[in-house]
Amino acid sequence: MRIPTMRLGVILRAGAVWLASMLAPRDAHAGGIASCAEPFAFANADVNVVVLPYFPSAQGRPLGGLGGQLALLVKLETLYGSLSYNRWGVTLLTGPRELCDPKRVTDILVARKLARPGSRLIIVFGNLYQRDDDIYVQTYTRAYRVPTAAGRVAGPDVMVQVGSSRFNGRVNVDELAFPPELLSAAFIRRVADSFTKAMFVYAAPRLTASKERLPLLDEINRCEDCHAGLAFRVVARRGDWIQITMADDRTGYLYARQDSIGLADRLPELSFIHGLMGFLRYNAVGQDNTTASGVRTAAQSFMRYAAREQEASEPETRAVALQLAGILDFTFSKIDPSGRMDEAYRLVPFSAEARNLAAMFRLARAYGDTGRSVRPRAIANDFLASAALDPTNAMVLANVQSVYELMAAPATAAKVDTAAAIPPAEVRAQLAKVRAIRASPARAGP
Amino acid sequence: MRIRRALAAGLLGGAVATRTAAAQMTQCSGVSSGSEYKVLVDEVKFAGAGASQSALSVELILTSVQGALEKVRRNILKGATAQATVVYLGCTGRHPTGESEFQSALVKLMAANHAILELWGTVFPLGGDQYRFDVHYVMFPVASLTAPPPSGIAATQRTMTSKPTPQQVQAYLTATRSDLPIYFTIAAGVQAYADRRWEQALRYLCEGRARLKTRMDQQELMTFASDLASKAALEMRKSSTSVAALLTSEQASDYCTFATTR
Repeated sequence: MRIPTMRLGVILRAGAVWLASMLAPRDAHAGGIASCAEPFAFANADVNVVVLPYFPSAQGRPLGGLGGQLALLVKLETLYGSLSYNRWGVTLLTGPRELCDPKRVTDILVARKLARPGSRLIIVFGNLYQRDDDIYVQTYTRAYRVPTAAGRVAGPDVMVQVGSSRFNGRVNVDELAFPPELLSAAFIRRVADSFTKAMFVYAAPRLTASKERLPLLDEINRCEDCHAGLAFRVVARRGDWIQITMADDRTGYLYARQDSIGLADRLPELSFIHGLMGFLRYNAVGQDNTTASGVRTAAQSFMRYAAREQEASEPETRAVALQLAGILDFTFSKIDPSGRMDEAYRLVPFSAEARNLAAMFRLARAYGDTGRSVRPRAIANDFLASAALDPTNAMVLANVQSVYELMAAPATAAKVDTAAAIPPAEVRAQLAKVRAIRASPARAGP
Repeated sequence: MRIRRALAAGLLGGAVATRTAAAQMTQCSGVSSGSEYKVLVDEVKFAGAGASQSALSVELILTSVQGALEKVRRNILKGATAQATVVYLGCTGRHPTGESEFQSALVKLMAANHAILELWGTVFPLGGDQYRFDVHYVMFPVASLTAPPPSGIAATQRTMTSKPTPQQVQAYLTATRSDLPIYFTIAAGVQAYADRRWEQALRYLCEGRARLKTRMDQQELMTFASDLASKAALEMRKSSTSVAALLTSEQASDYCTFATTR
């Protein structure tokens, strides 16, 4: 079915109003395109991904709309993968650099409650810089956990109960910088070619079907005057296509996955973003019948990224991928993640959070073993080292207290390797010290 | 391709810089304003006959530097007080001829302005088809605090078999990316130490030291970072409500080894 131009225009003008009512069913998936001047996210979504244009470095020569084209393909790739999850929205924003500033967009989405309290928001943005015919792409993400209506901020990412003590862990995903990727001239030509196929809403899932240009297409290419918008419900995958429903219940198709271009191969961070979307959707958020498959997909995405990303010069994002996959496996499948946490710690031995997670799960594994596997001195030092790495980290310091409380608990005695035990007087002294530190006016508890 | 990293030990202390040389170095605007941490990105140029020709645009390097430091920037700023942010200064036209241009007074002035790091590069024709690509770094707080070595100056040298191609530029960027967080965290740690912010100093110095651990040719800088961290730990232990009070004397005396070794 051909979508009349006039009708699409009406849809666009009504779009901004209609956007507010999107995702009424709680399990829906939604996509949108809008202007950075009037950013939006899907208020009912548990997790929103907002893709901003990739901008050329300030004094570089114009790249023929490559940044906007790339952003659209990133969005479509994200949309395609996201059908493994539910309660999400994926939006492409277009506009000039000053309006598409990530902080500005985030502030507007949160202040106007377009990303609802308690939900998660991922902002994807990047830079392009050029040398001769080749272009380097650098992708960044910012993840934001919107405080609840009561003002409560997000808790830890993972909690482990060991005996009578509880240990909390967190992975810092607030701001991530991915390694730059080199795109060859040939690949850039493929991006442009793919863009010419991706820039339409098709009436049927084939390239020969009747089609209408996506709104804001000029703006995607030129990033100037953007005032229209489009929102749609994502219904299903059909091969390389995704089926969408628009405001007036008409059906259309987007050519979302163009394997010939191999975008996901060139930009491994797309796997990470897919995993992060699932992590933020399911971890510590309401569960439902999609949880098992969604969590499995997210963990697999992280591990796919971890397997491909070089670690020598860029260990940070690989370590985070291992940690997040480990947390999902532990939280939802009770799989011991200590191996992954140890591997992540080896990649970033300067990270207090990585050491803390490795310590937590080493302790949990030892405590869960039959026999006397807990080596108190080594375990206490593990947590102490984590606190030493970041003396200002309240969560890590709370875990130091928890580990000494565990050592002081009578039930722990049966688990302890007596040759490595800490004298009770030392445990009591350390407990008194850590309680005093946490109670000091200069600190606030977690 | 041969890659060699070396601390240009003693260069600051031993070099004699003339007033003329210092005066000729192009100033970088923005250094003296504000109390933010500053990273100066200078030109990468071809030496010799084409001395005025830039091998890479400052903008390109600046973008790469920002990307490389983004992962440490947030951690560095955590808990910082006066330094609310990191600013990257693209110093178009600035290309020091060598470490000798950084006299002691200039280094101290830069450190006082919270300039953390400066880098520039030079491509030297070696004859035939050989080129050498030098990237120089100055860690102002380190250079300000210590003379002679470690001087706070480091260099990455790379010999190339032809004039750099885009692929070699990528290799250059990759090398720069892994070096920058090391020098940035150590320099920021020394600055925090100078500002008597012990907790921040410990965090940055131990991170820098851990990142240096595999660089066998930079043991001197690693030892320097380690020793300074232990001094910061001793200062912190004077307060009974500091995390350092939980450590034994032995652990605190080699603070970074304890914190980053398992």
